[in-house]
Amino acid sequence: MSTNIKYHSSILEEAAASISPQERAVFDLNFGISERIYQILQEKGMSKRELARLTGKKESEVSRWFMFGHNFTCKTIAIIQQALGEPIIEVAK
Amino acid sequence: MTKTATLKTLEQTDNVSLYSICFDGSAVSEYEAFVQKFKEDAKLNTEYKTILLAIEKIVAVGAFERFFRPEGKMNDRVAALAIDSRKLRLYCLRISDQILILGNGGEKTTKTYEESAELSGYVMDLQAFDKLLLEAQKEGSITIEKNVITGIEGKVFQL
Repeated sequence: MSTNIKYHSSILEEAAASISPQERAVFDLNFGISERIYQILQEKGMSKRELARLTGKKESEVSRWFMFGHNFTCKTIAIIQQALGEPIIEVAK
Repeated sequence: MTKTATLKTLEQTDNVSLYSICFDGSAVSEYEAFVQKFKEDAKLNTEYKTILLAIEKIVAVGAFERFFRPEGKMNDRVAALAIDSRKLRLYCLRISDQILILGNGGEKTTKTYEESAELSGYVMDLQAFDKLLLEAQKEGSITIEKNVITGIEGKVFQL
C-alpha cells in the first residue's frame, strides 16, 4: 500500500517512498484502532478519564492510546473492548 | 538582521492544505529541512517515520485538535504533533481542521522545549510567524477560507 499524497516537493516524495509497505500497514492498523476507540467514546459521550477508570489504567497511559505511532498489544485491545462493551477488532470465534 | 519568511504549499487536497515556512529566501522549507535532518538518523528512525505517516494521515482525514498537543503560549496556535514518543518533536501552526503550517523540530533531550535552545528557537519562529499571519489577515493582504490561504504567493513576511 503506498500513499495517495503527491507532495509538491521531491524531498518529501523521496521520504514517503522510504517507508515500507509493512511500516505503513502497522501504522494504519494502530491508527485505525485508536480512531475506533475515539469513535466509541464519542458515541457513548465518555471521556478519556472515564476510560482510564473503566480499564484501571492511568490517564497518562490512556492519552498515549490516542497518539500517532502507539503500538497496541492484544492485551490492551482486549481490556479496552471489555471495558467499553464494544468490538474494536473483530476476529473469528 | 531581520529574518524574512514565505509560505510554501506542500500539498493541497479538497479537504486539507499543508504549508511550510521558508526562511530568508531558502527554497527548502522548515519541514523539508526537518526531513533532511532525520532521514539518515538510525536512532530516531521509528519516530521520524511515525511523523511522516502522521502528516500523511492528517492530509487524508483533517488536522483535528486531538492530533496535536498545545505548545507555545495560550494565545498562539503553536502545537507539536502528538506522537507516542518522548524523543522527537515536530512543531506546527494548526490554523484549522483544514489548514496546517509545518515548522521544524528536533530531538527532545530536555524535559521542556524551553530548556532547549534549538527547540525553543523553532517554537519562537512559529510564534512570530503566527503573529504576522494574524496581522496580514487583519489588514486583508491574506485571506483564510476553508482549506486555502490566499494572497501568499510572492508575499514576504518580515519577522
